[in-house]
Amino acid sequence: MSWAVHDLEPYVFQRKLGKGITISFVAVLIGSWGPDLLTKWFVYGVGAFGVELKAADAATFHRGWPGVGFTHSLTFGVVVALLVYLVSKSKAWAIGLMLGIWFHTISDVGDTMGVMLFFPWTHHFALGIWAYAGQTGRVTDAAAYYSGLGWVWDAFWIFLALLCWPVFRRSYFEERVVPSDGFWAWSGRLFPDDALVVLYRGAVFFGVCRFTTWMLWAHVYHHYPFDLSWGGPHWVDAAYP
Amino acid sequence: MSDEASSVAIDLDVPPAATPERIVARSRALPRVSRRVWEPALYAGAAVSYVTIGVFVNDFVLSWVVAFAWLLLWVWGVPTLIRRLRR
Repeated sequence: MSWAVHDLEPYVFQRKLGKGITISFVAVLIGSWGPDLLTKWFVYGVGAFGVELKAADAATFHRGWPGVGFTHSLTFGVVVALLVYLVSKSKAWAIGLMLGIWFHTISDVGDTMGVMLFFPWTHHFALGIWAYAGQTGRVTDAAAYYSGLGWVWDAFWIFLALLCWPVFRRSYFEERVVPSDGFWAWSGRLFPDDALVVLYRGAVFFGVCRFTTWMLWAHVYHHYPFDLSWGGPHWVDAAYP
Repeated sequence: MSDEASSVAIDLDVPPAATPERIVARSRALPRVSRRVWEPALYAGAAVSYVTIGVFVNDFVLSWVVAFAWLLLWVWGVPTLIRRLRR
């Protein structure tokens, strides 16, 4: 799985795609986070009042079938887009959600577990560049991702996002992002303009900060060894389909 | 005492140092830092503090909800609070 990439993809693709078609930035962001928001809590496990909920086979549950692996497929993006369009008649949201889910799905092809791109065809497409370690829990998963080539993938996306720096300007937000999405007019009733700009920049803040934090945590606070070999790090038990 | 002498005495009189009007006038006279300076500084402050806390308490802190709230607090909440205090 990818980490900070999913926070940065919406800015980069908005810069590239936003010229031709009207898409909602918020929809792309929700789409980009959606497949993991729906599933990861059960992959890592949650506990409350002595009750622990966790998938018995976390990797298969997350990416496979039977399981919720269909959330990481191009098909899921199309289905969500059609449903949203039928309900809301908003092309900007329907296309935005579909693109966000597609970006998420495609970037997750990079790990050893891969994704079922064309579900219900259950074939896993996996490049195996870095180890999938979601089944080991959040902390070990983070340590592994930021010790293998996963951190290079995240760093590459931070670099791409910085190349698209005009999208973070207030003028870009006001002239390009706000007019293409009614969400901002609605939010304007709750927050003043200054706060909306800050919220718009929230995902890049989160992406860059969590990349930095996990790197410091894994390699300065702890001393997890780097392993930049293909499919690494090999000190963790990677999951395969 | 003549009328002229009493008027001179009033002119030289030093007014109380901290009348409400003076406090407001003095706060408005403080040098205003350009938005171009303080805004990036607040983003940097939010990032450094978030990363520092996140290294030690990553389980709770490293979620998008906390990140958005943290950023909002620093970059919008702090200037808004200062502006209100200055009024």
